[in-house]
Amino acid sequence: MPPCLRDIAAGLLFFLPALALNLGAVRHRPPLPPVSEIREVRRSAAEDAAAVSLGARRLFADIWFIRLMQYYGTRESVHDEKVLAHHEHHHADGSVCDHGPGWEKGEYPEFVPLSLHVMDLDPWFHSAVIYSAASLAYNLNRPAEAREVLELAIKRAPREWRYHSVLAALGHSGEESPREIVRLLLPVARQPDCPTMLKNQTAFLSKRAGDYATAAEIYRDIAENAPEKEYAGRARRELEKLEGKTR
Amino acid sequence: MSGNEAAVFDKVGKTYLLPRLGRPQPLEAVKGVSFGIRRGEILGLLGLNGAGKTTLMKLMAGLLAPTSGTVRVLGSDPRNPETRRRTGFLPELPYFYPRYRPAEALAYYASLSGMDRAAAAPAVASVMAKVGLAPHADKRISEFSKGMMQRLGLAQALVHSPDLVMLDEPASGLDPIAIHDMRVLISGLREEGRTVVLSSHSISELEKVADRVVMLSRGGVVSCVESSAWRGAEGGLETLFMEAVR
Amino acid sequence: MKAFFSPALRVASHSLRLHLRDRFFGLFLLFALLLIYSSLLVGVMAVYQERRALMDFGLALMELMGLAFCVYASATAVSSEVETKTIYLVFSRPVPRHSYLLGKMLAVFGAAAVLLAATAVMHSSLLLLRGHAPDGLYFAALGYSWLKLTLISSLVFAVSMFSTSALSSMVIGFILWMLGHFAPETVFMAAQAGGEGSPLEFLARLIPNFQLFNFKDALDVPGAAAPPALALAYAAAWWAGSYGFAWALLRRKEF
Repeated sequence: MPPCLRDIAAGLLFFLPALALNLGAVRHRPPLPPVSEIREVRRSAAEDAAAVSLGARRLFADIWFIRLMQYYGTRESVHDEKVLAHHEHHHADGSVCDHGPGWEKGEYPEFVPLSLHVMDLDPWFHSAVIYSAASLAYNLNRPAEAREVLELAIKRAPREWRYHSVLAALGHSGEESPREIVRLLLPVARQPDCPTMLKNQTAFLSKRAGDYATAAEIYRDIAENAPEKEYAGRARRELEKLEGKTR
Repeated sequence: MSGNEAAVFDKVGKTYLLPRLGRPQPLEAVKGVSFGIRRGEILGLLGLNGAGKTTLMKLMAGLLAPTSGTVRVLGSDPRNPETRRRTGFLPELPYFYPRYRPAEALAYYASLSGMDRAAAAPAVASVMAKVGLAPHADKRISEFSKGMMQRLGLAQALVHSPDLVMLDEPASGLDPIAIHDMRVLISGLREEGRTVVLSSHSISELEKVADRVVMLSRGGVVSCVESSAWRGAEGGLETLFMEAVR
Repeated sequence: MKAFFSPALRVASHSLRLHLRDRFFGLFLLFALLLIYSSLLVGVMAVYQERRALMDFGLALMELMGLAFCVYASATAVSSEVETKTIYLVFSRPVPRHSYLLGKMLAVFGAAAVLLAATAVMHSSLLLLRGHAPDGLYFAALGYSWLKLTLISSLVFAVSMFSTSALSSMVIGFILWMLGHFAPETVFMAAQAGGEGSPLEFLARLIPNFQLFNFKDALDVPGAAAPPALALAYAAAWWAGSYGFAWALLRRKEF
């Protein structure tokens, strides 16, 4: 054997302790979904591979969440055209019909795939999961999809108590008394990184349930801390209305 | 090896294995080399390119091991740490980190030779003065000329006061004035009682400074002449060299 | 002991200074500064997730800058001295080769620590500017990143002993980095393809697992990264293996 190959062979022996440790250690994986379970969305395969190979799944989950918020924050021109066309065709004579609570809110067909993609990368990104579920349930009136998102999140991150609370709260949706929903949502809403939308919804439900003190507490939090100016402004107006009722 | 010899080559051969696809190709750089280096002398190694001068230098510096025969330097194996503490080596075209100042580089090499900080500081200052770099102490090495770089190379070989100094082509690439200055420095080392071995393919250089010259051709010693021989010969060392290698 | 460590520390101290004065170190630092501060935009876009976005961006960028520098520094640590023949000036002195190697490795580890610390100061200043304070988890993530960087540095160092160029060492380094993050998946797929206990699965199990150090990717998840003692022991085993391998190749090398 040439001397250089002999030296390489001898050198490899020094790796034995590391390799022995590795036989067990190589199986360690953080509690994140395996690569095979990351669903592709918007041709994300290369980006997802980069996320895993650079050890930056959390970072890419943040990026996809920003994309989700931007997507949802943009009015759907396709949907607007559909609504306009429907009105022009069916209601030119001034008649009115009931299209259901979701009409004119937008369809956002990529909302669920984008939400699931964020969760595939980081199921512990609870703010993103709750934002998605709350938007689906309370804004887009798609509670079934909201439950789907939460159930998958719980499967991936079973120790994340917030998901259980929000899912339980969704289970009580449609009931006359929202007290139970508020009881389940309140611990989540009190978290500093809870999506403002869910805080707002919890405050609204508290008010409906007659619990004005809790509603005021949450509205005060939104007014002082929410980065969204609209929510903060609305919260301040609600606080003024509640002033008399909480004295 | 007698007590009067700083180094001895005894039937030394060195074969390199050049990497090739498949089997490495052997290249015999030196073969059957035998000669001694007297303490306190300046010995020149003269030969054409590829004659084996640098190989012999590296064998003495402990950078290479002989394939056959033995090399003894100051009574020991040249790879012995104690031997290396007492020898200094200047390779051909030495390189130093460009952003360093000369004193920084010398302090580093002094520390590697086993000198502590207290001993290194005065040694660095002394050797810089000796080689004429003291006026350039504030310059970065990137600003050095070729001559200054060679002086720095010589300085790192001397900073730890070695008994045996090995200089591989010390005048390589230097202008005439720099060559003259280098020659003066090398002669000065003899006055200090150090043994100097220098290799060159410049006959005129060795003629002016060496006490004895070993002539190499194709890896072997073809002749060994004292300075009195070329001083007395018509045509000097050049004639003797041409006769030896043809 | 002194004969082993003293030259090693001298080589390490000198090499660390070289790394810190290297123009690439400065470039990486500057680039990191620009990227960290440009992540402000991402923080703004993330709305109420600004803290998380800034933390994730910063930690990822710091690690990637560290990766780029460490792979470069490890690949060129010894090879640059061989190419410039500076190594003659070292090995013609009483410096044992094992001490030299240790010094070179320690210098890269030290440079990685300095780079991470410097970028962490920049990043922390940005976080504080935005009203977010770095916490214990943040510093723990940095510690794990440093361990990961030292692991890849030691592997590239070992590769540089036999590779034909610094560039090829760097390429291998980046490939190892990516493979290391896929290690658990690779083992799973090898087991699926070749069966449990197959030679294929065994080979897959030899890939170092960088997920053990990926604390930053699961900051709020308990049990995400390996416990600190295990992570350190694991890294140390690879350092030792790489060092021993490098020494085995260098001990008889002729210059």
